[in-house]
Amino acid sequence: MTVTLAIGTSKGAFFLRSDDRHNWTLAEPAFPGWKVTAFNRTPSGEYLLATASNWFGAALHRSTDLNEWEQVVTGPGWPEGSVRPLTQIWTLASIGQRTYAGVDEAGLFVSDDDGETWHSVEALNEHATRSSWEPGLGGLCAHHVVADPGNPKRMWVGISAVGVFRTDDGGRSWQPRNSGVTGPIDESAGTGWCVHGLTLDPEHPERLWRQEHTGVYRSADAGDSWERIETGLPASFGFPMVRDHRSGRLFIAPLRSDEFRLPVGGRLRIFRSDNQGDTWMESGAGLPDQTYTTVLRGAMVADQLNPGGVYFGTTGGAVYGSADNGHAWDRLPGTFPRIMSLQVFAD
Amino acid sequence: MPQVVIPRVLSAVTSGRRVFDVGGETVGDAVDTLIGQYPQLRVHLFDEQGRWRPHVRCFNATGRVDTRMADPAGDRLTILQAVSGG
Repeated sequence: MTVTLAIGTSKGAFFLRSDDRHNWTLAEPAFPGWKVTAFNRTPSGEYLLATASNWFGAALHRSTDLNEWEQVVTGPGWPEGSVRPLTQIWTLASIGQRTYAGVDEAGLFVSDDDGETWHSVEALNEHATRSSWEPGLGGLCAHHVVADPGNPKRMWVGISAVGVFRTDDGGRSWQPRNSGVTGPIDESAGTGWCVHGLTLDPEHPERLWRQEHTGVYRSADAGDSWERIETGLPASFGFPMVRDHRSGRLFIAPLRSDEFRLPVGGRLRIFRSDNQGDTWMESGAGLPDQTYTTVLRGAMVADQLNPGGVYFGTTGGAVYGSADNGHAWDRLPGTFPRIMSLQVFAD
Repeated sequence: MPQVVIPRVLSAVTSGRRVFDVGGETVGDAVDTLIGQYPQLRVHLFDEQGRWRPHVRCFNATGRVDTRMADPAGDRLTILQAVSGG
């Protein structure tokens, strides 16, 4: 089996390939000079890659081989005449036969033809709370889409700095689901929560976890309520929230507070939980000290193989991987521009 | 028949091509013709309001013409990635 680690950076896409998850080969970059903000594989196996640019806007590209790419003419985004700009495609997620794109300026778009054409999820994009949506430091962005694999009509979307919304009817209606999460001083608008990372247990999809601006939380009731879970953590701020589904192990990358946003004490560390988030511990060995780079929300991924592999990229351009579910970490080859997105494909 | 030259980074969506012979008498006609050939370029040159993106410029032999789309295109239009912010 060949594992391809797709690395999206502020200046291009890079691909590391390995047959054993220990020895990696770096391929030629794609889209040099472009921000590469998300990757995905559609239900039929086509690859998607999202680009953005401070000069030339955002776009979506398709490929059958991660080598030759063709830009989608009318990708996910706001229609001609809209006052909302498309600045970045933050996430791509295939759920059943559909593929979703979460974007900035915040919106959710869906494709039923492998990414060739897209339409707006109007009930979310024109939600009754829309006028109260405000951006976070990273923008006003829809950055996570997760779904109940047994019930594709139930989905959750994370939007910053708005919160988590859930649909139970396939996207026809959406409800904010942030109760119990420390958020805005005035919660009356129903928005203002700054979710950073979001994942669920596909076997028990009523269980969700979120890395929030204000801390680490879980829900046992599909997001109806949340509780803080930070025992053992050196800090509760951070961005990614990743789960190895086979073992149930959770991974996060704590940072020293929203004021500083640095690894605590200069120790770049991943923390894991083996008990649904009851407690956390430092995850394995091999990560560096005296390191002051961070892990962005889209820059950590689990490969869902057996044993689980976990990978993360830093704002300093380093990629680390663990082929044994977070026990031993290796620095993978290459030093890249700021890493914005990471995805893994196994064939 | 004017030529249009696009920035090197945009050749990622035009199969590596940067120079195009296009039809059209005016700047607007020439750019429209180019976009007709490569519709993927529209999103990179224009925003949702149909305006040139703020850090993209278009010049002909007489000077900047992205604000003068009805002007004659001349022999050559050069679309530039503006030097914006260092």
